[in-house]
Amino acid sequence: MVPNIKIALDDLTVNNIGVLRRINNVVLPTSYSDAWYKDSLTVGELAKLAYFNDIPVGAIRCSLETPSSHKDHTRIYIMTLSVLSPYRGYGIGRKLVDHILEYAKKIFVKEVYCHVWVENEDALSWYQHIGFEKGELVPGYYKKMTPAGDAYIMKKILE
Amino acid sequence: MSTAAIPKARYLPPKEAGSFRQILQLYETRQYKKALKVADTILKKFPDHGETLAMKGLILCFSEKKEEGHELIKKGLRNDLTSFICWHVYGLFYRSERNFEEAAKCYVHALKYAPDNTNILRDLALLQCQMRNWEGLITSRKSILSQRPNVRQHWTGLALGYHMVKNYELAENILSKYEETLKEPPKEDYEHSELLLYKSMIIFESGNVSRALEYLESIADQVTDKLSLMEYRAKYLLDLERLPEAVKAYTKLLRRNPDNKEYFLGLEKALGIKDDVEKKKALYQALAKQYKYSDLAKSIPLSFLSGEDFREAVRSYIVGLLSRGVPSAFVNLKPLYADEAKVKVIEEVALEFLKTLTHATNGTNGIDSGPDMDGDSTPTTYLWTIYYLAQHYSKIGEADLALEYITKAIEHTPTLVEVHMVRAKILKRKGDLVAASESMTTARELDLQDRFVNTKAAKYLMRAGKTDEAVNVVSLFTKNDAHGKGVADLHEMQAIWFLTEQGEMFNRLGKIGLALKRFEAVKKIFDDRWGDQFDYHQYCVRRGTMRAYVDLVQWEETLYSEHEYTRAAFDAIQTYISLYDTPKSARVAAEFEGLTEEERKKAIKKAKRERAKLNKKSETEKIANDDDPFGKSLENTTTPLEMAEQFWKPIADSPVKDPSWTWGEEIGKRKEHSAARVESETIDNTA
Repeated sequence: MVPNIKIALDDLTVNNIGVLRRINNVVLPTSYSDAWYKDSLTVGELAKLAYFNDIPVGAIRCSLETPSSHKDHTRIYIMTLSVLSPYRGYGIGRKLVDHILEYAKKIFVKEVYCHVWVENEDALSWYQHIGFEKGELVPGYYKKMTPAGDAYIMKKILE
Repeated sequence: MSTAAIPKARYLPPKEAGSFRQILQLYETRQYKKALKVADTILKKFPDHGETLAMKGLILCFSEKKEEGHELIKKGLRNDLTSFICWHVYGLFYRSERNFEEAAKCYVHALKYAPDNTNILRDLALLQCQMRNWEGLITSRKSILSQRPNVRQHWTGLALGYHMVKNYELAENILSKYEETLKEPPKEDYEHSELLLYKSMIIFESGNVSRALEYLESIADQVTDKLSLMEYRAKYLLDLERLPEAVKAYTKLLRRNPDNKEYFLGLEKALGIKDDVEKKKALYQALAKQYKYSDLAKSIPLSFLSGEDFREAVRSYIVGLLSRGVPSAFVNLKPLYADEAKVKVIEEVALEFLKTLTHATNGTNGIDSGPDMDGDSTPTTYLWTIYYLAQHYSKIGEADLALEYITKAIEHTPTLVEVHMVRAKILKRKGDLVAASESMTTARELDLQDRFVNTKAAKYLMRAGKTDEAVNVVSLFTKNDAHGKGVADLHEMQAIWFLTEQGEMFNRLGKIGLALKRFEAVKKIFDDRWGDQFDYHQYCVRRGTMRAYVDLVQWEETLYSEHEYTRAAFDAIQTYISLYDTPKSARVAAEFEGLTEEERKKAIKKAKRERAKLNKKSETEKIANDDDPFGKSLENTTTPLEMAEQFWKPIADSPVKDPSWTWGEEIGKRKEHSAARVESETIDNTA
């Protein structure tokens, strides 16, 4: 049987913010504060929900990092990207990241990046698979882990 | 009328008489302020002029000075008891109070002094409709028609009277006579078309179906409502057993709309296969192929098939729904749950389908479940299937299995609103109201703009006894008062579910006054609905929508046997009866029973504190213009049985009653008992 699948993205709103909260709570080991969720409503296109056959199953939330000095460029930082486990492998995460990359181009931002735990090989290879490259190692980035976990920066430079 | 006939007290000089006519005009055009000014100029010279006083009173009533107005109307009438205007005004006053009986009496008086006044006759006719006084209606309508035979609504109004007393012949005659008055029937005229269909309906109801059909065919080209024309024709043909033609008629209707159950059932009957399962099976197979998107073509056979045929049919039906991810799949199948054998098959079929699903439940992170082309590997199909099974097991009383499935569903997709709602329902059925409410709240928080979930969440909070939270939640969707609460708005919006739930909650919490207040509010909604039909007695007859009007009148008859009313009414009756059974002194005594002196003092203190708290709260919970926000006067009523009777009477008068409704007897028994008690007390006193 050919599965009938429809994937779509939608805005994060005050009415469905509970979905972002739930997805993050289930998928991610770290938890975020109420203030962080409230803030998520202010980032516009940088936060999106993904729907699989009309059910919300994935979410991305980024922030725009304006540099402190003129020499550096503005970057987009992926704070959370999560897809419920039964819905992985359908290109939902990629669709979410693609949306961010397109948006970055639109607003002339040249770099999108994130942190990935060094032990999370699936995630590392997944980011490489969609065209991100491995950057420097940040020792002890995950402070709440015992012992503190190291992270790689994964980034994509846009032309 | 000559001046000589005018009683002295009523006579006005020409100038004032002109002013009085001006009042009438201003009243008609609702220029109340001006009208009052003119009335005052007349009253300056003739302070006792009855008709002017009455008119002034009526206008005051409509300008929100009801009491003053009522007094003036009464005074006016006293000053001029033979004036039809004064009586008419008094009737209009009663009508605005929805006291239709008194209003009718006033009109009858008015007609004594002005037997040919069309306005009064028309107003009386409307009241007679409201009170279902059809014989009276015929009389009034006859006089109106004899005066103004050139207006269509006067003919239909009279025909209606005859129709309602089942005098079909005269009803038809009147309509035919009207048709004869027309030199040329209007073309493409909706109102005329409705009239013709109404006549055809009357002929059909008289039992002369072949003539009804004949007539229908003769008016076909004048009828604008083609669908009704087709439906009537099919119905008449079937009734006359002209089956081949009926088959054609129903087939045509199905082609127009394959989602109307009546058409399917009509076709079955027309084909003469209503009781032949095999032929029906073949018919529906063909229909399902022809109307691919018709749910009925697939679901109707489920009700008559059995054995292997049923298994096959229900399998393809369920699999279709689950694969498409129809959230309401269970609701579609619920009617079948009355049949135990079918329930068993449904369970087997659903479980078998679940086994064929190749979707791995624990995430495989990027790797699909493999190239197994036999099974559906879509995660949502798996989700909807276990979601279905959870509802299935809950329905058949297997709460633990239901919970197991719904827990799996929640682990699988915790973002789906529906799974949390079903979990709440399962827990509610198990009796764990607090956990149920928590689950419903989780569902609500996933989609704050869904009013249905919001409503459910509020209801579950009330079941869990969380008074304030429930109000806060439901107030997210209402127009709120200064304190951010929507309770007043929910009264305004006639939210029966809310009023009843809140009343029952207050009852459980022992807040009897508040509970009764909510039940009374529900009753008021129904009384309003009964009153609201008043406008249609005129409107429908004037617009010629008689078929819809007759529908409305018949529906109103069953208004008070609707579950929404009886539920609140029985709650109220039960509460009032318990007030009677346990008078206040006994209730207070019971509260302190078995307490030591010390404890009693404490309890009294605590009660005082709570009362103070409540009074403070009354400031915030008060509904505007309500001087008894906690229903204390209801709780302290000295006539609880009479109050209960108020709720019972409209049910007793309803033509549709359930024999299990025995509250009438319960009230009656106590009334007898109470009468006997009063009697014995009087004897005691006199002895």
